[in-house]
Amino acid sequence: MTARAEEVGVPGMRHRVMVAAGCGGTGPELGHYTDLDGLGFVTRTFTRSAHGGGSMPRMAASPSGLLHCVGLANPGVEVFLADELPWLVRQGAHVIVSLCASSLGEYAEMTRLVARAPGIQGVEVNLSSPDAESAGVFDARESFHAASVVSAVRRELPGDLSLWAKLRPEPTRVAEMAKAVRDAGATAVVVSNALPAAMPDGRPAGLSGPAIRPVALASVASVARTGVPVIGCGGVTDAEHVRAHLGLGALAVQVGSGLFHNPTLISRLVHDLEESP
Amino acid sequence: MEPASAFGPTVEVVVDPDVRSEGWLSRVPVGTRVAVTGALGRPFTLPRQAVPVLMVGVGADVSPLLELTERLRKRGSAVSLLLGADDEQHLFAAREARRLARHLHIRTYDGSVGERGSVASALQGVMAASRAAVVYAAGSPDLCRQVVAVAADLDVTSQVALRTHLPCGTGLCHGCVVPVTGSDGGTREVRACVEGPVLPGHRVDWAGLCGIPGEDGS
Repeated sequence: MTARAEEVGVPGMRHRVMVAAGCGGTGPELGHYTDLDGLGFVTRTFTRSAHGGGSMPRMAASPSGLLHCVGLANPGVEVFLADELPWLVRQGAHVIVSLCASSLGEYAEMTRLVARAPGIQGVEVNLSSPDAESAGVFDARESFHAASVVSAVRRELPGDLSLWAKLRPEPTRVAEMAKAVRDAGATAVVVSNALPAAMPDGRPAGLSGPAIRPVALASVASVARTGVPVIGCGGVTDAEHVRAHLGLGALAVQVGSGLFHNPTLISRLVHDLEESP
Repeated sequence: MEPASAFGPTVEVVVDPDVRSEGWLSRVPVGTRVAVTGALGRPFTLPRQAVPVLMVGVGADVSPLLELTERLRKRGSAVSLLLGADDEQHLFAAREARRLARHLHIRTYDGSVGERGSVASALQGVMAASRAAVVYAAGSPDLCRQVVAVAADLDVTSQVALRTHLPCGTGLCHGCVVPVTGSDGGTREVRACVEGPVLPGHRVDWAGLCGIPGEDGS
């Protein structure tokens, strides 16, 4: 099964499954288990400067799911571009850089840095991180603000690079936001991010994994009805789940926390989908 | 890893049946196929010369130290072991330790085996008596912190296998970070599963790891 890659703006992406933000390490860790050549690889989310992230423990088990409060821990976008990106590009990965900023100006500044880097295929703006408050991120809960972010990034991003907006799992509201960001210049939307949740000790967290798959699927269906190109993300642990996302209108599917359980998951999905699309 | 046992190459896995994330393995019927990912992370490094060494561990955390003891013993090192547990039932592999070690020191809280007391309170005396050039510790951050502190006082090199949360174990999730001090004096975070679980004792920012405000951990 080949990607309908041109529809999500990444020509040459070989598969319809790809790595979701924050779930592929820095690249080489996943490269031990999966051939990255031709694979869509969304990086973990980067901020303008290094950010320490949340305190430990950062993960906890939840029924059929995973609670996490990594809190956008990252070395800053420039360290990524210098130290991590070249390796990914050499492997032939289709790199989409996930960005999160504290202001529209900072989004524009980061996009200018990323747009100059050789080998980048696009940007995914993380408009919906449920545990990012400590990072002082620009509040994009309202469609108008989400669209402002997308416009700011689009202005700085060369036209041949794709721009994805990763949205919250809110089936009742996500269609409206998808249309707003599409009108502002997004190539596709990714639905969805983790569900806002709390760690057992009460800290803000995201809930990911099979527990939220039905919510992600409802969000995919809701966006697909609007005609906005949509990439599914949520609770994928086998090929049947990929087909469920595609069946509801997703053009491609991101694989996230399932990789923590099984780092070979993407290879297996690629194989299974080739056997029986 | 035992390269040649009666069953061919085998891997020994130690689990605590009372811990949910690992105890399930103890209840899997014999003969069940289980997918395993490994080996992961960085192991202990061995001293170039056959110098005396000391191993320190509590309960089931002792397991990685026994294989290390065997290897160092074959290379001619005099290995001292300081093992601890709450009671006899939780003392791991004492019989094997007795076979392998040049000197074996056991501390239990209830005094059921060895001397009554904690491993921490015995560290200073045992480490000095062992004349160890390298100390290996495996266990909780708090135990490792105390081992490294005593080792630093005696000018002994230390390596610690930290027992931390390892959500994915492969480096993907960034959920197992340990604060370390770089050669430039700055603090940064490394993933225990990628750069560890074994770390040089002096590299770890112990105050940061153990949440001790206003203490430099040494």
